[in-house]
Amino acid sequence: MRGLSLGLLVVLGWAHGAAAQGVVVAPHAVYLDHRTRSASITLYNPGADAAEVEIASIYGYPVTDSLGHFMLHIPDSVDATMPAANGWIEAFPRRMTIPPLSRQTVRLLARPPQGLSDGEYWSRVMITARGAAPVATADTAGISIGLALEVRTIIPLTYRKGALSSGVAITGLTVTPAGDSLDVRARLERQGTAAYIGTARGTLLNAAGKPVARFEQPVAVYYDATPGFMLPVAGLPAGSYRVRLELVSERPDISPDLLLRAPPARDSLEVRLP
Amino acid sequence: MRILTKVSAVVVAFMSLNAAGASAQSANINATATVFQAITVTGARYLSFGNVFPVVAKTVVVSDATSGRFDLTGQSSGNVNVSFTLPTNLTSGANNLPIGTWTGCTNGTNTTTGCTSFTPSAGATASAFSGAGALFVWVGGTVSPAANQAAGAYTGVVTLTAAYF
Repeated sequence: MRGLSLGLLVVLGWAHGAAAQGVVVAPHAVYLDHRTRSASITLYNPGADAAEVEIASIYGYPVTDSLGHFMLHIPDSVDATMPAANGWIEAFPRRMTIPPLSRQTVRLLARPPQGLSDGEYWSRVMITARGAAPVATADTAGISIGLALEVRTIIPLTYRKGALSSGVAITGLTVTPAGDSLDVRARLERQGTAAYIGTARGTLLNAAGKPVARFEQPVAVYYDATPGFMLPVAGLPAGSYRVRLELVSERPDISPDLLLRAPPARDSLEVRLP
Repeated sequence: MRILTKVSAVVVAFMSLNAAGASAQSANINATATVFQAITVTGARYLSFGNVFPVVAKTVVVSDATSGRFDLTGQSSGNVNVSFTLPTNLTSGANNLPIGTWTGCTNGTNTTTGCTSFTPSAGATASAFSGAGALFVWVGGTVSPAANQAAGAYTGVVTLTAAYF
């Protein structure tokens, strides 16, 4: 390495600021069935520079951690006992350059193995977008540092074969104070033969049965999960309330015809606010 | 965010007035479309340390104007996991410059005031979009040039991965 005296340092700058590297991805979730075996995603580059994009398939599914957060679990290895579709999902094109303000359709084709059993198979589509790197200006006598940003978007992919069903049961509903909120937790036991994709709706009812607080949060229950939901209670008077939790097989970000319908699951619990 | 747009389209049939028995008719139909919120993950601002000096460590905190920023959009109140792939060295040709002590913060609005801190190098962070379907992520760090650090333009890549459910 070449030595450098402080006296040699002169102004050297990075052209930084509005990088805007990334692509818009639609839809939120991809569904394929055994009959058509194909789907597509649309990518749009809203930036002023071309975006280099790469598509990959990985296996993973959501779980909940000890805090009740949904986390993406990616196993270290995938074996035959796992309902993994990532090994037989192909993207066309897999690599592309999307010019500024342009869109690109990516076809996803499934080539499932012969004799695939009825069921639901999962994968995640990972879209990596790279934009132009930051550009150093002129002088090279000093030390200048700039870091480019790269973004990866991971969306769920579901492959279905045969008649499938889904549902969820609520057990073990608990409510504990957490600052100016209530931490609502419940064990969600998946029913049927497919992941439960839906929405959790919580309502706090006062003694008169009037709703005084709510939450609404998308949920994805691939295996049994114990999510936590925060129900804001700041400013509410002390007294008896009832927390009502309802799960419905609806998602505002996914077309209803792609979701497996299931009867709503409900539970409630009496609580007292100090 | 789901937006149900109902467009009332007026269809007017113009009938030839010289046709026998012709009369003007009009009818209304509703055209509906459901627009789903798209997902966007954008590297909105480079992380830049500007000029540094040998043996003088330089830190960019998340509230600095030169911190890195990612802008995410998605479903209102939807869950998202945010994780980072971070360099340990920046490079300029064959020369390395250590970087570390990463800091991060997330917020549903585009301000670091009141944002939720996290450690980008500590694995995935569970977060959620705001009611408006927005999430902003800032990242900062510290570079430590050596006494004999070679001059040059050092670069690296910060990768944010956003997993939707």
